[in-house]
Amino acid sequence: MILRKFTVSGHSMQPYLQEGDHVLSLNFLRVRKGDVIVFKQDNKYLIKRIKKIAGKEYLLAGDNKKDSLEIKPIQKNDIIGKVVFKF
Amino acid sequence: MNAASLLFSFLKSETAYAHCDIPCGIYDPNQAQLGAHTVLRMTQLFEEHKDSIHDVARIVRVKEKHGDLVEEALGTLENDYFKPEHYETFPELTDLLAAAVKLSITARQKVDMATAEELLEKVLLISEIFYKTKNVTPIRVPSVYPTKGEFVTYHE
Repeated sequence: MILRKFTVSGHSMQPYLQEGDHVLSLNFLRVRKGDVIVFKQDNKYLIKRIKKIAGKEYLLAGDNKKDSLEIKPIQKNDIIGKVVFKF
Repeated sequence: MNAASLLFSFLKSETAYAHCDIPCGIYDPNQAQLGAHTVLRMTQLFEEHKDSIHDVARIVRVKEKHGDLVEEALGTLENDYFKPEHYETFPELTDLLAAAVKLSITARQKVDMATAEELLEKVLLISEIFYKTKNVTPIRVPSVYPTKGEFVTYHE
């Protein structure tokens, strides 16, 4: 699906995203360092910001350093979409 | 409902988790059990020390802190560990988690033995489900704590 809607659960993307915020993601946009993306890992959708793109690996982290640690790198095909709108 | 919510209401919403986890696979219900036992113990101690403002202040502080810990530990299990298949296998899990979180809040708002005991019982039931999802057999044993409550552990 090109356009998807997600509800945010958790605090690791504060202050940009609060628990319960809605976001829209698009899957055809090129993603860059600094973009917030939704991706799939262990059958769950996660939302984080791209900290670095190293070759084929995308390194991610949450904005809220008190409540976020870097997670294992993902590949491009793990990306569901780039967050383009929040409400 | 704001304009954006209305505009995009035709889209099905899914959950995107913004949690703190490294997907390390290390999850355990013991933190919630310890917290629930502490809430229960502080509730017991409150009765014994209610004539001392100083003691009451310290007891309430610890009860508050451990009520928070229970909520946080259950939230980690709910959001990071339990997966859709667990909820399908144990349909009571959703209500148990919601009830336990609510009790952890009520136990902080009040000094009530029945609430503290019910909180511990709900946490024990969740712990039993947790171990079943790990394909081990949960067992209840008497705790070694002054609460005299039980503790859930497991055997292979």
